[in-house]
Amino acid sequence: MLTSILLKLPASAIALGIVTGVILYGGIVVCLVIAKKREP
Amino acid sequence: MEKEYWPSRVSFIFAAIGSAIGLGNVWRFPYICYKYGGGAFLIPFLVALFTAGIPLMILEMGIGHKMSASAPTAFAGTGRRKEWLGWLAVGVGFMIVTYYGVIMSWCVNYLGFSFNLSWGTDAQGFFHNEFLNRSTNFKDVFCISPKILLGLAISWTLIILCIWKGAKTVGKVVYLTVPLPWICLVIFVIRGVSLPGAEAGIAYYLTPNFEALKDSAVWLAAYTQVFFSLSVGFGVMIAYASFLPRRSDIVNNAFIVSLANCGTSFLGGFAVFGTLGYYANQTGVEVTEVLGSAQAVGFGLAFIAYPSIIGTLGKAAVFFGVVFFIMLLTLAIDSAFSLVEAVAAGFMDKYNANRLKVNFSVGIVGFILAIIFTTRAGYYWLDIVDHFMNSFGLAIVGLLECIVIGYFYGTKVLRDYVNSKSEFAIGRWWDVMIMFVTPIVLAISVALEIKERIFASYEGYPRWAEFTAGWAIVIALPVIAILLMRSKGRSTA
Repeated sequence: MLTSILLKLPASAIALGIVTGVILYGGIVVCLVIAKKREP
Repeated sequence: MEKEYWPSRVSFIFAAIGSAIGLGNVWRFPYICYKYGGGAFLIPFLVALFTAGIPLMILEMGIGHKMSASAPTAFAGTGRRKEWLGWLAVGVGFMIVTYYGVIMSWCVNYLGFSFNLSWGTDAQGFFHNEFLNRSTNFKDVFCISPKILLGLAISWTLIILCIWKGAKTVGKVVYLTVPLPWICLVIFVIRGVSLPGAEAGIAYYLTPNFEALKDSAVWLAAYTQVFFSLSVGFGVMIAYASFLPRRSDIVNNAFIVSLANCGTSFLGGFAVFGTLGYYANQTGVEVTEVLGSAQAVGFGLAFIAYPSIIGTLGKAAVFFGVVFFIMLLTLAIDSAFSLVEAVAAGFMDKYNANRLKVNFSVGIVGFILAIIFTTRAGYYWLDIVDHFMNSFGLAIVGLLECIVIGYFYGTKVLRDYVNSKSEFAIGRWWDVMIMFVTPIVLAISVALEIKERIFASYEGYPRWAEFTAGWAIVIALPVIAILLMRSKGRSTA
């Protein structure tokens, strides 16, 4: 399913999707890693 | 009065994310993305997030935490006669929650309709004629819809219950109202992208038109989308940050909340575009025709396009209908109660008022003001208030916040404070964003909107209606804010 969608998308669309995903979701992961375990 | 605090850091982050993530993430972002260059729009969107969205989020959280007070009292602390800006912010938020309650009421009703797919094969006719009983006359404001009124009462009851004991109650409620719409959204993404024809919709979502990046309107749209979707400019983040203990982080929390909000928008795009691609496939029309129609955005998407599509899903239709409207309801409720909480916190801080009395007073006034939106002409009035509060109210508050902090209070003072508390520091780039980039973009946005409204009324609506629900409120809110500032409160006694 995912492969068939990816095959129909131009490379620029896939690249933009990946970069956006990495910045947004990767950014959250980095922030959570940085966050120290302490009370608010 | 004893100071309220969040039960945990997770509670605060969830509450702030819940406030930021609203219906716009699902029903506005994908459409704006399609309209302004498809995948290419993601580039100005990310630039706007880091140059305006996150800096403003840090500003609001920083000022709320430093002053340990809601927006009016916090701005009073930034300098002489600045309190009115806080009242203006919560005033804009209050106007928004009056019609947000009505949209929640529509969701409550549609949740009920989902069990027997009441809209049948004509979702458009059902929504406008049967459900809203929409009139063509703006003056048709005496015929109230009992169903919408009942839904409104349920919505306000839920809102008041959610903020019953302030941060303590909100801190628990958000453990349900934040993950639940995410789960629903993931279900819709999986279903959306697996439907026949979905790939055509997603191709339109992500395929970039780099030529669009040369158009200044695209950049402006990206900045306004980021700004409107983050819940800054209502005083909510100021009030929420004021409930954080003294040693709490600011910068990292602001990044987490902002990224989670935009990540939700990005994810929502896959659900919406996949589903609209399927819709085009089923109805035998071009995807561009569906995406360019009124049914691809806002109320049309939620109450016409999606119900139509859900109706074609066979045995699973009821399940997806229920999940969809639970998602909308839970997306809306934490944004709604955060707006009410910002208003309530303002009155409690200034007048040392009892929380329950303030909650009920705000709820009753909000409910009464919203009754006009439950009438046969309510749709038009709601549309005008929504447009003016977003285009003028929020943008003006954001602009003034940048000016007050950037040119009167001092960005360095606030930056030094947040850096002293945070897990990582912000540099001078933040000062530049607050003093120049964000206010310039917001000023242009307001100026362009004024120009547009001079030449034509919003949606071609009658000028008198536009003035009554638009300009009059935009003018009245600062006046009320100044009167509240001049009133005698606990701190000015």
